[in-house]
Amino acid sequence: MDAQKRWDSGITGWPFRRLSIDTETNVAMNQRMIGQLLRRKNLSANLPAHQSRALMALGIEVSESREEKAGLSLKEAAKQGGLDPAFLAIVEAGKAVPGEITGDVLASLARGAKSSIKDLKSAMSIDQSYVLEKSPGVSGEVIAVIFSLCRPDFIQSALAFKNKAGLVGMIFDDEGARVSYKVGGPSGDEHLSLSFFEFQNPDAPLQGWTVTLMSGLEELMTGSTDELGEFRLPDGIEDFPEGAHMLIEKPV
Amino acid sequence: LVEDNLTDEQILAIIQSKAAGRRLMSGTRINKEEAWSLLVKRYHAGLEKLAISKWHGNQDDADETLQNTWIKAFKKIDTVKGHFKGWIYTVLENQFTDEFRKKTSRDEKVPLVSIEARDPWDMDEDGERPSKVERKVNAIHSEQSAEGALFVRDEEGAHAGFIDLARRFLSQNDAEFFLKYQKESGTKSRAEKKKYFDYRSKLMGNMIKEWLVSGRRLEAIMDPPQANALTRRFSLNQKQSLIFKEMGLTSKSELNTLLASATSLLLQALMGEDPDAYISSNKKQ
Repeated sequence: MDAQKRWDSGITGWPFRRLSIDTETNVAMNQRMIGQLLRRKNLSANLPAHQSRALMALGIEVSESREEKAGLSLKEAAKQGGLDPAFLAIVEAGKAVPGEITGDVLASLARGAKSSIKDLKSAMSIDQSYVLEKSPGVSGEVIAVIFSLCRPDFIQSALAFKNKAGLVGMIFDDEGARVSYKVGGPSGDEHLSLSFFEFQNPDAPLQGWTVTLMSGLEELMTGSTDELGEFRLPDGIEDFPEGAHMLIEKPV
Repeated sequence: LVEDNLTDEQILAIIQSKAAGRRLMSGTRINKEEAWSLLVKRYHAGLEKLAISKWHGNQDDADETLQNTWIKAFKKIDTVKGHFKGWIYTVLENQFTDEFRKKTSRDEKVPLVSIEARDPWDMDEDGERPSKVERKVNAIHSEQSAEGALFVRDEEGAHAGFIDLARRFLSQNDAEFFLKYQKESGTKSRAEKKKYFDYRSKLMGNMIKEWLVSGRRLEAIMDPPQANALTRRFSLNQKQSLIFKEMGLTSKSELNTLLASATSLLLQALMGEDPDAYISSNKKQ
C-alpha cells in the first residue's frame, strides 16, 4: 500500500509516519531515532559490503535530491513522503537496513525527496563487478562475486548479442569478478541466459552456483547454474533488468 | 528519578559497556537505549538553543542539524573519553560546519567571470588613505579574470587572490550585485552602498567563520595570546560575530592582517596544498 495512503488511513508502523508524530517533541523523536539505531547496530555491522554500499548510495541520493531538487527540510520531506522523520534521517545517514527499503518505502522516499524510484534504484546499482569472497589462503579460489549488469562493457556485449553482431556465442572476460561469461537466448524456445565460466577458462563452467538477480537491494529472482554453467532468466524476459547486478556464489 | 541523578560519565559507561545494561544501586536496571534517552533529554534543549541562536536562526534547519548530530554522536560514542558535554557540543559544531561547507559549495559557487579586480574591503568609505596592500590590489588590471587573480598572488600579495576566493562564499545574486557595483561608475545610492557593505560583512563573516573559527586555525596565523583572545570573543558572542563589529575586531589593521592571512590559507587550500600541512609548516617557521 502506498505510504501516503497508509498514513492517511492511520495505519501505523515504522518506517511510515504515525499520526502522533505531529505532536511529538524533538527530544522524543531523537530518542526514538537512537533507539532504532541501537536495534539495528549489529545487523548494520554485519551487512555484506555491497549492501552497505547500496544503502550509503541511497542515503546520498535521497539527501542530495531533497536538498537540491526539493529544497525541503528533513522534517518536511518526511511529511510529504509519509515517512517517519527519524527514518529519513537514518536513510540519509546510510543506516537503513535492506528489509526496510521496500517498494513502498522507495516510492515514499522518492516523493519526499522529489526524486524518482528509477533514480533511487540507479543510485543503488552496482556499476562494477568485483570478487566478494575468496576461500582462505593467499591465492584463494573465488567463491562469491558481484557481477554487474550495468557496467558499460557488459551492456555492450549484451547489446551486440541482441543485434547478433557476430558475437553470438562469444565468451567475454570479466576482470572485476574474475569470471568469464557468455550471453545466450532468447530465441525460439531459448530463454535469455548467462553462462559463467572460470576466468579465461571456457572449459570450466561454474556448475551449480547460486545466482541471485538483484536490483539495488531488491531480490528479483534466484536460481542456480546448470551443468553448462548457464543461468536462465524466466520465460518472457527479453532483456536484462536495468541497473541490476548478480550475486553469484559457489555452493557450500 | 534515580536515573536523572546519574552523571554523564556513568551514563557513558553504560552505553560504552559490552553489557546490554546495568543495575543501579537503587536496584533499577537501565539499558543502553534508556541511557541514550537520558543524554538526549539532558542535552538536546541546550544544543537546539545554540544551533538556533548561533547559526541557523530557524527551527527547521536547527532540527535537521540536531538530528544529524545525534546520529553522528551515536556512530562515534565509543571514542568519547570523559567529558561528554564538551564532546557533544563539538560534534554539533562540526556537524554545522560540514553542512555549511556542503551548502556553500553547492549553492554559492559563482562561475569564474571577468571582474574588476579591486579589493572590496579596502573601499575608502571612511575617507581613509589606501594602504600598501590596497594600492597593490587596485593596481591589478581591471579586466583581470578572477581565475587569473588567484595566480597573481605571488606578485601582488594575498589580497589579489582574495577577490576570487571571497566570491565563493557569496550567492550568485550577491556576486552579480558586487560586479555591477564595481563596474558602474557614478554616484551610488545610500541603499546600494548599504547593500555593498552588507555584502562585505557577510563575506568576511563567512570566511572567518568557516576557515578560522570552525577550523580553529587562528593559531596558525597569529600569536597564541592573540588567537586565544579572539577565540574567546567568538565563543562568547551569542550572535556568532557574523559581521565585523560583532566580531570585536578593534582596528582596520587587525582586520587586514586577519584577512591577508586567511586569504593566504584559502589560496593554499584551493591551489591543492593541504591546508593542515600548510599550517604545520607555518608554525615551524
